[in-house]
Amino acid sequence: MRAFEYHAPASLDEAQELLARHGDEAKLLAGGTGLIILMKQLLVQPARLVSLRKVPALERIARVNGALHVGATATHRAVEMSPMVRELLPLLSEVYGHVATVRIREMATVGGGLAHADPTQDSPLAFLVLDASVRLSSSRGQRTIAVDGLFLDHYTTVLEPDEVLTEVLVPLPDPGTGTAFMKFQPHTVADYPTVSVAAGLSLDESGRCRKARLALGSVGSTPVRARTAEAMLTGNRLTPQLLGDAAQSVAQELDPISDLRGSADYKRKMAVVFTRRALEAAAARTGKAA
Amino acid sequence: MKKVPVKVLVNGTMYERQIEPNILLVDFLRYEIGLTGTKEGCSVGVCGACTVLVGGRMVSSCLALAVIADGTEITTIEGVARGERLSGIQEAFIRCGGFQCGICTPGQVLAAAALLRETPHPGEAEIREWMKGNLCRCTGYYGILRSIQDVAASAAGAEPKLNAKLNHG
Amino acid sequence: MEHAVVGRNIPRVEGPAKVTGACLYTADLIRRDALWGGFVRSPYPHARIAGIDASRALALSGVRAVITGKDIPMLLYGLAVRDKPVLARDVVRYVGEKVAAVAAVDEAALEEALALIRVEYEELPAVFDPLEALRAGAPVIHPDYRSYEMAGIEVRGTSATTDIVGSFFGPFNMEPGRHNVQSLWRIGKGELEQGFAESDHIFEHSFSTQIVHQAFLEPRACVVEIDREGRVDITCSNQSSFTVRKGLARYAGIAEDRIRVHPVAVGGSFGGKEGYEEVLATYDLARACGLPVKIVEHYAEELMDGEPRHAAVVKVRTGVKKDGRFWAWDGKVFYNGGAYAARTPFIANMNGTLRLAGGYRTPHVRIESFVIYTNQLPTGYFRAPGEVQTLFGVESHVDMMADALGRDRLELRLQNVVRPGDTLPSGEPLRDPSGVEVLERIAEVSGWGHARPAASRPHLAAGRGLAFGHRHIGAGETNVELFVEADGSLRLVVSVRDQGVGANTMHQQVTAEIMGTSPDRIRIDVRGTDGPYDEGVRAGRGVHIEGRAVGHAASAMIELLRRKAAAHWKVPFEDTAWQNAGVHHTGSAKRLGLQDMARLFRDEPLRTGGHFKAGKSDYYDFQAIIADVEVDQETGEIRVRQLYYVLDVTAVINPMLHQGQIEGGIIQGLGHTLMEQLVIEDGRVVNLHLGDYRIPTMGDVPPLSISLVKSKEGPGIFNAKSVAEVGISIVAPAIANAVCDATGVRIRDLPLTAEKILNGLRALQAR
Repeated sequence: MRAFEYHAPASLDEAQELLARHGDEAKLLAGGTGLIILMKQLLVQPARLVSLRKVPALERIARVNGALHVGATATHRAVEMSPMVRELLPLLSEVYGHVATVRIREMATVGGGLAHADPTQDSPLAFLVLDASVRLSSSRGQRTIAVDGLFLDHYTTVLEPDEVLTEVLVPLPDPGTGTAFMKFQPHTVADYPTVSVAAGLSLDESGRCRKARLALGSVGSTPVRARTAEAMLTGNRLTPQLLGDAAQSVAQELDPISDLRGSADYKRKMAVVFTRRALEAAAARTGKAA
Repeated sequence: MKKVPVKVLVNGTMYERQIEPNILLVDFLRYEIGLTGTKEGCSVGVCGACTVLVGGRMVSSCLALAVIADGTEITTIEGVARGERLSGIQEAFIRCGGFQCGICTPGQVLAAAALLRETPHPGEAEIREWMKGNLCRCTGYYGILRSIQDVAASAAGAEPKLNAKLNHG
Repeated sequence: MEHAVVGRNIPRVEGPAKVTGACLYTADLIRRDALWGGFVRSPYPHARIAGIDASRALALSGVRAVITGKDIPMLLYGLAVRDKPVLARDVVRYVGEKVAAVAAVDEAALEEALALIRVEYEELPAVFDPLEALRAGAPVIHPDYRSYEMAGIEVRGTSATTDIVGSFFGPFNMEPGRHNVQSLWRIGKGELEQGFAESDHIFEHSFSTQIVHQAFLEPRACVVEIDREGRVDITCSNQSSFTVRKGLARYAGIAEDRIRVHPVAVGGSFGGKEGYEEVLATYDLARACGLPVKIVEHYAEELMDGEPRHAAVVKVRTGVKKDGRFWAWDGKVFYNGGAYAARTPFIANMNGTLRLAGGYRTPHVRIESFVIYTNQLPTGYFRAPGEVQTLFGVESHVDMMADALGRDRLELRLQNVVRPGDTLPSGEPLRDPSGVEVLERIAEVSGWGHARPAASRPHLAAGRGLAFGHRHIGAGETNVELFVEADGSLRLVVSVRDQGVGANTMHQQVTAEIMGTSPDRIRIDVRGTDGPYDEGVRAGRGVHIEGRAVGHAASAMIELLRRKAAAHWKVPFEDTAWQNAGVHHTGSAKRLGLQDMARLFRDEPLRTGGHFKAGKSDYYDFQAIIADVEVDQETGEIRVRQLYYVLDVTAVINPMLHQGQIEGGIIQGLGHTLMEQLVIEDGRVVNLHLGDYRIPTMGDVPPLSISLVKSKEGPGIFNAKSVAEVGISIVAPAIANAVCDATGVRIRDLPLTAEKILNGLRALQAR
């Protein structure tokens, strides 16, 4: 790794100030599982590292009114194991529990993962299904944007160089919402996925789908919201035929690349299969809410 | 490059150093302090050979900057035994064939220790999920699984279940 | 025979060191005065080196030396065929080939220097496919091939005078008109064409296997120091201290006794650490700098430029009589040897070639094996070299024949398996084969032919597959020394390096058994080149070569002590006996225990040596495996639900060590079957870390049931047979056969990915 200046600010203000001054040549460091590898491979060579280790309260997970606020430096493991998250947002706990290995989950953070914007990541899928938003903070002020608008390209978000992602705001789902997460790793249980899917479905009193959310990972340069499928489902009864058709429709919305985890064609086919399976599982769980 | 102060307790001994921030924790432990029990394998946080415990939690020391250790308590493999007395896990690894070449063993022992601290009687599925982050190329994992099950069972007072059945004809 | 110590699970001698982190591997040597070494590598698969400019690197204050092919001895390196310069000279032949070596004061300076060295290349046409490399018009990668030397083989005129079966062609006698062939080996018996003429059915299939890496977790490393008098000290991650010493002596032109290779634990090798090129380059750096140099390769370098398993194309053509007898068998294998033959030992070919007709009693056989030059990374040995490839073909092919003939797959094998009195397909003799017993046992333990587990869910298809194999027992040479210490304990000196198989524990048990002492009274003293000569670890030779040498030393010690006691008592030698770890005078109460003798003869060393050298024996291990799988018919994903494995054994020295070898081999087999492949695009390895080159994790291992069949004879100590390279070769065909059984899809190339299976399912549906 090349040389750099290291800062460990003791407050968010201090961190923001450092970024305001050095934004273009500085990188934020949280768990480091993404950034340090890039630095070791010399793909990223920041002149400064600003560690968020010592910034207090940034790792907090708290219920605030009708939403869960997940602090940026909360680890994957903390979210996975939190009794509050398991009770209120089981999809979130489930998805975080599927990332890599326990050891990586102990290091990698919520904010670090989102800012890293690796298109094979799982966590954005949960946040997309849950209509979450992120708080971005800088010395210029704060802004809140939907996770849906966070990712521009692989490894690229809308974050400005002087901004810190401080927390993720996750509205609590309506009672009766069924969610499911499928991660397809056909060759070994500890791999990047060939495709992953998160689904959330909720029904109205007449049993029709009131809201549908469907997000796919590893099939594009960013996580994909399957909007065509969502539109097909909304307002209708969730028959097996409809779920199958909706799943089929995702094939057109994807732009997967051929890589070590499968050809583009295979990923497209698997996206359809696992979307159908996720929708079926989510549909079966509607009405069984806490 | 400005040096950064690091004050860290490693296996109960306090170390205070001024170090360059681009030093990895694995290199700090191995070369600066001289504790070479922690190994570097894949260098990308996958194999787990570099596992150490920071505040009791597993960390890939090949992905951690040494400076993040400031103010923490670290346990490396050298800190597991109490002097000459091996821990229950270490004895189980010897008794049940939990290692062959030994290069992954420090990481395996620490990961197992962290598991059993969090879950004293893990089932097979839990052991596999936890330990899948520690690669081994020699044993095929059956010996490691047996070793961990052995410790867990002797803590519970039950008979250990073996994953691979062996019948001598 | 009842044994006291042999057959027990005594704990490993190196146990406490390994579980506490005290065990030292090469990278753990901390030398504050050592320089850090590293390499500049070629980015092109085939190119002329037009120029190297190291001036900017040399200008860095932390750099101590930069050397290239022009700065080092002209000798070519090779374990068999010597065709590789340690640093490329004029031409690079694969991506990753070492072009320059750098020594610097620390890692940061090293990294900076490596990036500043400018190499100019003129690209040349490259060839990557072995069959294409054989065709006329393909780039000739080694125009000077016929001038190369071959180590370890005595060549007189144009023939090799070794005890290799069949006809072998190397640099000294390669058939005219051939190019890009590293080695060619033909073996056979009977009259092949007559055999086909007499056959009622003829089946022909071809298969292919991929390059896989041993993926030991310790990347190779070495430390080389030259003292002021020119004596060299080496610590390196390698299978053989003496091979390294001999190789460096030849390379550097210095006497072997000026070189010392130290013992050190090795973090896994599986055959992939026979080579020592990096030691030679490190020596050159140490010489250039006048300081010790340490090289610890990055894992990416191991994947880019290690000694991986040859990819192969396997073609089998079999003539069968209508009653099911295999009558004629024509097997061809084309191994991709990469850009240099240097990393392949023996005859730059592999014993796996000999399995090309399986373990069957076919009377008319021809086997032809090519190892071919291409512009890919050079390949080497990996547990059961060549055999993983050939048996994938053979055992898949046997299933395909069984299905075509409407025969039970196990029955057809039983009908054709070698029996006592048969020769092997190579024509080589065979003693005490247990193929029939192994097949019968696996049928029994798995319930073959009876109802098998149904698929656990509707979209899954369940299937069962079988594969069978035999394996030779390793050859080689070793020497050991045994001493009685002053306190009456024993010290066994060996130079066998610990690769993880538990060799030293086996040595201790054998000594304890013969001497009648407790194992904890025997200390194993592991040496490097200052110990007794050992050829090096490979090929499952432990209980055969090492075990017998230890046995000789122990038996010789007993004889020595009896003689000394007899002389001391002034009685005939015949009136003494060894009992209860001491010498007894038969007919009186006189006894001298080890402690007594140590005291009595303290002025003279109580020392014996044990030597054993042997070629391949006529005994073979026999093994079979059955895989129960489920295939997800919507995705092609395979889940292995159960493995049954059977091996024949004679004496098992240490059941836990023995079982560990079986389990480790099988899971390595699972890896190359389902998930491992060095992915190469235009000669460049694409997956350069263990996040992209995936090996099995604990989450991937299926339940495994092992059953051992008792055989009578074997060549090792206590008649033991080997175990270090079993299991691995038959996993892939068993799973491929199971997938076919479940779905009708026959996959003929490894790895068996979900995508391939899904494509196969779709193709079947389309028909």
